[in-house]
Order: sequence, then C-alpha cells, then structure tokens
Amino acid sequence: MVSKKPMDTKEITDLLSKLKAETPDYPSDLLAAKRAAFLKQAVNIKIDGNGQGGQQSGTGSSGTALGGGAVGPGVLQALIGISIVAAMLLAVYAYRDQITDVLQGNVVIAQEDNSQPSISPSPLAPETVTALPGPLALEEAAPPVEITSTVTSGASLDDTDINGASVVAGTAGAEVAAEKTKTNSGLHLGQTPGTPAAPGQGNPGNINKPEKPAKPTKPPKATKEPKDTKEPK
Amino acid sequence: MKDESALLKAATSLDQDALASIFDEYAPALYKYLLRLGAGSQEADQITGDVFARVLEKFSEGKGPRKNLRSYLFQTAYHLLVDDSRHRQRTAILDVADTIKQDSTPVQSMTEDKLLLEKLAKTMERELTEEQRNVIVLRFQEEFSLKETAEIIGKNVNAVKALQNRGINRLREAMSRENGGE
Repeated sequence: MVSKKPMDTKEITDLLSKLKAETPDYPSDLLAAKRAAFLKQAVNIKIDGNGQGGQQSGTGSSGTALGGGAVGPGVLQALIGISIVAAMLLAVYAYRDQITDVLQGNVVIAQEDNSQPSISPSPLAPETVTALPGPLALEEAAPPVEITSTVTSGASLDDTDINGASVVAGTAGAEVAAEKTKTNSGLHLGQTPGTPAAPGQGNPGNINKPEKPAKPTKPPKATKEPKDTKEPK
Repeated sequence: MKDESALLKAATSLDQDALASIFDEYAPALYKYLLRLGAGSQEADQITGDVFARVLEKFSEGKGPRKNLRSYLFQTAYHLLVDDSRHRQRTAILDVADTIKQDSTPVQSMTEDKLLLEKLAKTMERELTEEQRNVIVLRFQEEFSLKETAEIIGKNVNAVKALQNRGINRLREAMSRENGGE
C-alpha cells in the first residue's frame, strides 16, 4: 500500500534515483545498427577528407562521397570561356586580310558618297556656277585639298554673273574638272550666302564662305558682299 | 576506457577505435536520458543518432569538445530534443510512466515502490516545467554536478539551484497531496 504521510525532500530524491533504474535500455538491435552506421559515416568522412559527404544524420544513413567534385564545375566553366575567346581570336587572325578589305571597302564607299552629292535642279536658283580649284580656274593657290566651297548666286546678289561659284575640291585634285559652267547644277537653295545649309543637303561645300574662291577671279561684288554688311556699323 | 583527453584527441583525427569507444560509452546513456525527458523510443533513437552525427561533423572540422565530452553530448541531445519538440508543435511528454507499464505488470501486483515511481513520473510530467524537469533529471538521475548541469542547460549555477529547489518542492507537495498528507 501507498503510505499516506507527507513526503520530504530526501524521499523524493531517493525515488528519483530509483526511477533511474526503471528506464528501459537501448534495444540491442537498434544500438548495433546505429553503431555500424556511425562508424561507416566516420570512414566516409575520413575518405572524403573534409567531411563534405558525411553530414547526413538521424537515421544513420551514411554520407555520399561528394568531396572533390565541388571544384570541378568552376574550373570547367573557366576553361570553356577561355577556349571560346581563343577561338574568336584565332578566327580574327586567320581572316584579318578579309576583314581589312571589308573595312577599307566601306571607307571607299563612304568617300565616294561624299564626293558625289546628289544635286537636284530647282527653278528657284537658275544659275549655279561651279568652279573647280586648280591651276586652270584659280590663279591664287587656294588650299587644293579638303576644301569644298560653293557660292550660289541668287536674287539677293542682283543676278549678276558670278564668276566664282561652286568650287569643289576633292581629295584628289587631278579628278577635278575645272570648267565654268552655267548649267543648272547648283544647290538652288535660293539662300543668301550667309544662310547655313541644312545638314546633308546638297554639296557639302561651305556656302557660307564665298570669299575665298571668289578672290582669285575677282568678282568684286561676290567677295565684298559680306564686308558691305559690316560697313554700316 | 582511455583517458578522456587522449580519447578526444584520437576521435578528432577520426580514429575508429576512439569513435567506437565513445559511442559504446555514451549512446545508451543518451537514449535513456532522452526517454526520461519525455521522448518516445523512436524519437530517442533518432536523436541519439543525430547527436553522434553532429559530433562526427565537429570532429571532422577539427572542432568539437576538448574536454568534458559527456556534458557536450548531453547538451547536444537536449538542444536537439527541444528543437524537435518545437518543430513538432507539441509539448514534451514525460512518458516514463508508460515505459514503466511496458513490463505489463498488473497494477494490483505492483509493489509499493512501483506505484510510487509511477506516481512520481506522472507528477513530473504534470507539475514541472521543461527546465525544472531537465534539471531534476540531470542532477538526480544522470548525476551531473551543478556546474555541469549549468553548462548543459546554458544557465548559471544559481539558476540551476533555483530550478532544482522549485522542482523538488513541487514534486514533494504534489506527491504529498497524492498520498493524502498535508
């Protein structure tokens, strides 16, 4: 029978000690299985070196040997990248002549486009005189290269026959045909020389500076028109 | 058994004999400790495996305990049990009474001590907090010192003393009520 008296601390601690012996033992089969799994896991970790494959726990399953595979993908990707870059460089080197030709061809085409602007006739500008630089047309040595100038005579210039008009100096002076023409081949903008040309319109020559080509042939009005604008001041 | 420091040194280098010796020494004790704290037999088996897997992981990293391996193992077991209990959203159930009943002895034929032990186990489950129960088990069943118990539960010695005294007093009062005294 159970005693009915109040218990003191000593009795409680004694009972707790007795309760310890009542706890069942670890089943031998479970203990043996757990032990084998533990030792196998230790072997796997030792083989892997750094224990990457042996982190599984709980059910006693041993880790997989994944150590050593972690470095592989990064190195492989780097090698593939280097191989691609090397192949591209080799291809560029092998076809360097063709690439150079293509690039030079593009430059030539661009130059040809610049030297032959499209000119469309217009009834508003009936006269356009084109003078090409060179010894035949210009007595003074104007800069023969890289200068393109155009003088368009319009109504604002009193319809005088301007000797110097469009002077086109190409990159090669020999190609310039120096002849004075009064054909309707100007820009026909109907603008005063001071008006800037729209980008890409007509001859890229400098129509704002008519003085330079006009000086050698001495067209007094054409060369002095801009000066006259300053005189009233 | 080897000296503990030598054993730990060998275990850190993953020596098979040292690891086997550690397992044989502490695995049954850990299993019982987990049962006393209320784990079921399957849960205790699983957590025991987890404890040794974690220790193995620490050894392989060159870490792990340098001394007092027993406290380290019990501390790890306690933390894993708490994590597992929180994960399962349940309170820890002290089923020592159930384990006592497993011997299928009829209640009428139980000795007085057996009945007292069953009452004590149920009272521990019902009356004590989780920390009080852990301190009582560690101090009076696993026989850890106050300092070791403090290390295991992560509190200072005075807190362990307070938990122990409150736990014993509550057990005493409850058992006295059960016995019809006071």
